[in-house]
Amino acid sequence: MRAGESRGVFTLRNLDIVAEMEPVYEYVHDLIESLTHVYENHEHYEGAQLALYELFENAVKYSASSPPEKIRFSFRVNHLQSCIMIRNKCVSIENISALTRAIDEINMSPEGDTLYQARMRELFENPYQDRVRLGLLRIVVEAGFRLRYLKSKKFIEVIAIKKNQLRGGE
Amino acid sequence: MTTAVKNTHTRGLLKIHETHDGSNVILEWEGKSVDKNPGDFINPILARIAEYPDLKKIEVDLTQLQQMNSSTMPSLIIFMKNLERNSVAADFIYSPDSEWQRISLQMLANLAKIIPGIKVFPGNRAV
Repeated sequence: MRAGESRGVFTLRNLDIVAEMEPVYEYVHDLIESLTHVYENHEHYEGAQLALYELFENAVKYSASSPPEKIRFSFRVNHLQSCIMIRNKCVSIENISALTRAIDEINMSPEGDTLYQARMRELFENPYQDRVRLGLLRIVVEAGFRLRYLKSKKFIEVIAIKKNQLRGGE
Repeated sequence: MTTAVKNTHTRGLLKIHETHDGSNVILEWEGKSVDKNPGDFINPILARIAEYPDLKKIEVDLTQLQQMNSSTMPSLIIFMKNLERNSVAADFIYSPDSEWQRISLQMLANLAKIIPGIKVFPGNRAV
């Protein structure tokens, strides 16, 4: 069901979830589904779920495994915005640089969908690539979030923020 | 009269319902394609279907697909290219009510414009 249809859309006032997770891909789905009941009628449900899957997929893929470091996650919603934060220790500085470069490129581009389409053309030319590199673009173009990051040594924190629509009477 | 053969391919949260009646195939996707490597499951199925003898037309109904990670996109592109190589026409149908589907599949539609016989468009086929 699409949020906003028969069950109505609501704006969460104060959702504040903080969690940690081993960098294991199989845990990602369980964590995301466990959040579903909390916000499935929220106006940003579909987009938030997309952003969560893409951010967690990146975090797990590039997390340091030896020694294993937990991924720290928070999902905060207030009357102004929805905010997802995922922090993980990367395998290498190069991974962090690649991620921050990609976010910088998206943020500096006036048209995210132009980048998205360009990347799709590259994939069309060669779909057998090691890295798809569409996830961050989808978070911005499809889900409507803005991306920020904080980095510290081998740690990277990616923050996705989306403003809530202001509704009359709220 | 050809009898339709129905088969459902399932892995994790994703189901692909296949209906095959000689020269036509309908593929209805349901659930979520969020595996770490979705191509491991999807690509062999779609590659086999694209090689069916006498295949003329495929309808790929994505309207009931709730979520798809970006790793799934190459599988759709590879499938389109296989269909093009085998001169099989295909309609890819997505839900106009889903924000992510509208954007993702419109991006795919822009690519598909250069492939003869492949169309990507919004629809509400599934109930």
